[in-house]
Amino acid sequence: MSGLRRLGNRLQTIREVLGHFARSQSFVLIPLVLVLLAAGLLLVLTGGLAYVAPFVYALF
Amino acid sequence: MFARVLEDERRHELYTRELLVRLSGGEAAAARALRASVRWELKRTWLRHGRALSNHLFTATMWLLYLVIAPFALVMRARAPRASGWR
Amino acid sequence: MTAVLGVSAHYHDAAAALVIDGRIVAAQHEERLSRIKNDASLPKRAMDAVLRLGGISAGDLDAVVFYENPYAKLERVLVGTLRAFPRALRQFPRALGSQLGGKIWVMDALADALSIPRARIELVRHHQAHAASAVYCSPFERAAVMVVDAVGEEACTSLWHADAEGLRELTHIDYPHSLGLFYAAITAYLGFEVNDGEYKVMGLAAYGKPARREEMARLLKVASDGSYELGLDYFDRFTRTELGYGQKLIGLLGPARSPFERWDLTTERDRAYADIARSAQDALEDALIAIATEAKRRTGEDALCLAGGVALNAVANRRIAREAGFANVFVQPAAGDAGGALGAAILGALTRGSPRPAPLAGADLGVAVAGAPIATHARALGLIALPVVDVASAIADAIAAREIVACVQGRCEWGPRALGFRSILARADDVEMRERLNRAVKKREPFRPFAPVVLESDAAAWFAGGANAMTPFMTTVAEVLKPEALPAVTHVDGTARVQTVGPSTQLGAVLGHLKQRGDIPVILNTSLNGPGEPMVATATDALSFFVRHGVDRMFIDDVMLTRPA
Repeated sequence: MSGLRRLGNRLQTIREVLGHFARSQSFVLIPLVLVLLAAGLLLVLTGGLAYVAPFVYALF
Repeated sequence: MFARVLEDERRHELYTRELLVRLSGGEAAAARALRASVRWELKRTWLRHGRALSNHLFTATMWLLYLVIAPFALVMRARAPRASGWR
Repeated sequence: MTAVLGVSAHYHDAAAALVIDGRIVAAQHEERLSRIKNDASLPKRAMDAVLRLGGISAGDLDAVVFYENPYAKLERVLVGTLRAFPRALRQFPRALGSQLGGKIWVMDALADALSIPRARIELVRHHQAHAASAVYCSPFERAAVMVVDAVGEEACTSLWHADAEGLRELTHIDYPHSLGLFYAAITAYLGFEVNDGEYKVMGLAAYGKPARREEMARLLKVASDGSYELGLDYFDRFTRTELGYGQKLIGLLGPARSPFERWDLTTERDRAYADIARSAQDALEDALIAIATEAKRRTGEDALCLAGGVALNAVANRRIAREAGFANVFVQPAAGDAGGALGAAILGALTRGSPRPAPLAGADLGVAVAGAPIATHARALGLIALPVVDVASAIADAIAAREIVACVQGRCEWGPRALGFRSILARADDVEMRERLNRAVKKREPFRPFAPVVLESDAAAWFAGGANAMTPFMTTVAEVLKPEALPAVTHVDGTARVQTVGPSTQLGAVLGHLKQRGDIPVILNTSLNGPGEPMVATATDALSFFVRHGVDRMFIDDVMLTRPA
C-alpha cells in the first residue's frame, strides 16, 4: 500500500478520534487530545515509548 | 620510575601497532581499521549522550504534560461525577 | 456472497472469525498459532487461517468488524486517569502511550495487514459483540442476554434483549464497578496470574468455607434492583495496575499470598486463603444471580445467554441456571474476549442482510490436521507412526488399557476448553490416572480438577440434571451422582465440569466403544498443552508435544504415534 494512502488512513483515524470526542460530551477534552497526539509524536521521536511497559490488565 | 613506565607503554603501543599491521595485512588497511574503530567510538558516545538527552526530554515533556493536564483533570472531576448502578 | 471477518485484539486473547452468508465458517485464537499464551497482538496468523479455511482472500471480504470502539476506550482511559489525576500520575504516560502509540490505530493496522481499503473496516461496541456472540450461537429464537466482564468501552455489565427484531441493550453498569476486576483483584491477591489464574480461584474455592463473607460484602455490595457496587477504596487501579488491589484490601483480608510458594492445603494458612477464594466466589455468584434475576424481570424470557469473561466461571453458571428463574441457560464456548471476534463478524453479517447463523453445533471451528504428512516427520524422529482404520475404537482400546491418550482430531477448538479435538483422554474411574497425568504433563496445583466427558444419553445416569444447553461446551458444572466411581474427575465438592457429546461425534464413538466393552462410559478429558502453553493447534505442534511430554499414545487424524519400546 502506498505511503500516501497510509497517511490518508492515519489522518482519517485522527478525524474519527476528534469526531468521537465531539459527539460524546467530552468535547472539552479535544484540546487535550490534540496536545497528547503531539506529545505522543514527540515521545515516539525521542524514544520515550520504549518505557511503555507491557500491560498486565485490560484497564488501558 | 614514570619515565620507565612510559617507555614500557610506548613499547606496548608499538607492539600492538605492529600486530595490527600484520593482522590486517598492510599499513593502509591498518589505518582504515583504526578509522573504523574511531567512528564506532563516536557512535557509541552519541548513543550514550542521546539516551541521556532523550531521558531529559522525556521528563521535561511529561512535566509540561502534567501542567497542561491539571486544569483538565479539575474540569473532568467537576463535570462528570462517577455513577454506579444501572444506567 | 457476503463475507465478514470479525477481529478481537489488543487486550487479552486476540482472535479472528469468519462468517460467510450467515454461516460461521471458521474461528481461530491467535495464541494457538503464534504459540504465545493469551497473545493479544493483531491476529495476523488467525486472520490468515480463517480466510484460508473459508477459501477466500482478504479482497473478497465485504467488511472487517473490530470488536470494540477504540475511541470510546481512549475516552474512558483519559477521563478515568484525569479524574484520579494526582494518584494516576505514574500511569498516565503508560496508559496514554499504549493507547495513542498503538490501540487507536487499529483500523489502519487492519487495513495494512489485509491490504484492503480502510473504509471496509467497521467497529461495534465491546458488549454488543459479546452479546451477539452468545445469542446468535445459541439455540434460542429469543432470549435475555447478560454480558459480564472486566470492562469494555465503559460498560462492565450489561443486559440485552434479543428477539425477532434484533438485539437491544436494556441497561448497563459502568466502569469501574466491574465484577471481572473484582475477581481479578482476588486472583492477584491469592498469588495467581490475572487473566489466567481465575480458574484456579474457582477450583480453590471448593476447598474453603465462606468464612469471610462480611469482608466480601464491603468489597462488593449488591443492591435490591440487582445492580452492584464495588468498594472502590479497596481496589487500587492507578498505582498498582498489575495487581488491582490496594493496601486497604490487605488491611481487610491480611497479607497477600506470594505467587512463588507451593500450595499445601493441609496448612492452616493456605486453608485461610481457600476460605477467601470461597467467599469471593460466593460473593460473585450472589451478584450474578441478582443480575440474572433482574434480566428475567425486565425481559420475561425463558432463556438466558451469558457472555463476557466472567461467564467462563462454570461454577457460577450452574447456580445461575438453578436460581435465576430461567428454564434454559447458554454460554458460548469462547465467552471471553476472543469470542468478541465471532460476535463482531455475526453483527456485520446481519446488518448486510445475511440470515442468522444456525445454532452452534460444535466448537471445532479452527485449523484442521492431516495425519499422512506428519507420519513422515514422526518416523524421521524415531517414533512409530501407524495408520489406523477405526480411530475411535483404537482410542477406546488405549483408554481401557489405562493409557494416557492424546487425541488430535479434525479442526481445533474455539474457546478455552478442550472438547475432544485437541484433548488428552484417560480413564475417569482410576485416581492413579489423574496423578500420573499431573506428573507427566499437566503439573497442575493439587486443587485443580480434571473434567469428564459423557454421552448425552448417559449424562443423566452419572451427573445430576443430565445434559443441557451448556454441557456440550463444558461451561457449567454438575453434581457427580456416583463420585466413588469417578474419582479422577470428581472435585472435592462432589461436582465435575462435565461435557456431553452426541453419538455421531468421534468422542461419542469412543464412549460408545467403551460402553460396548462394558467399561464405564465416562472419560477424563483435559486440554492438550503443557503447563503455561497454549493448546495445540496444528499437527506439527502435536508432534512437538508428543516428543516433549509423557503421554503414552497420540492419534493425529488417522495416524497413531507411539514410542519405540
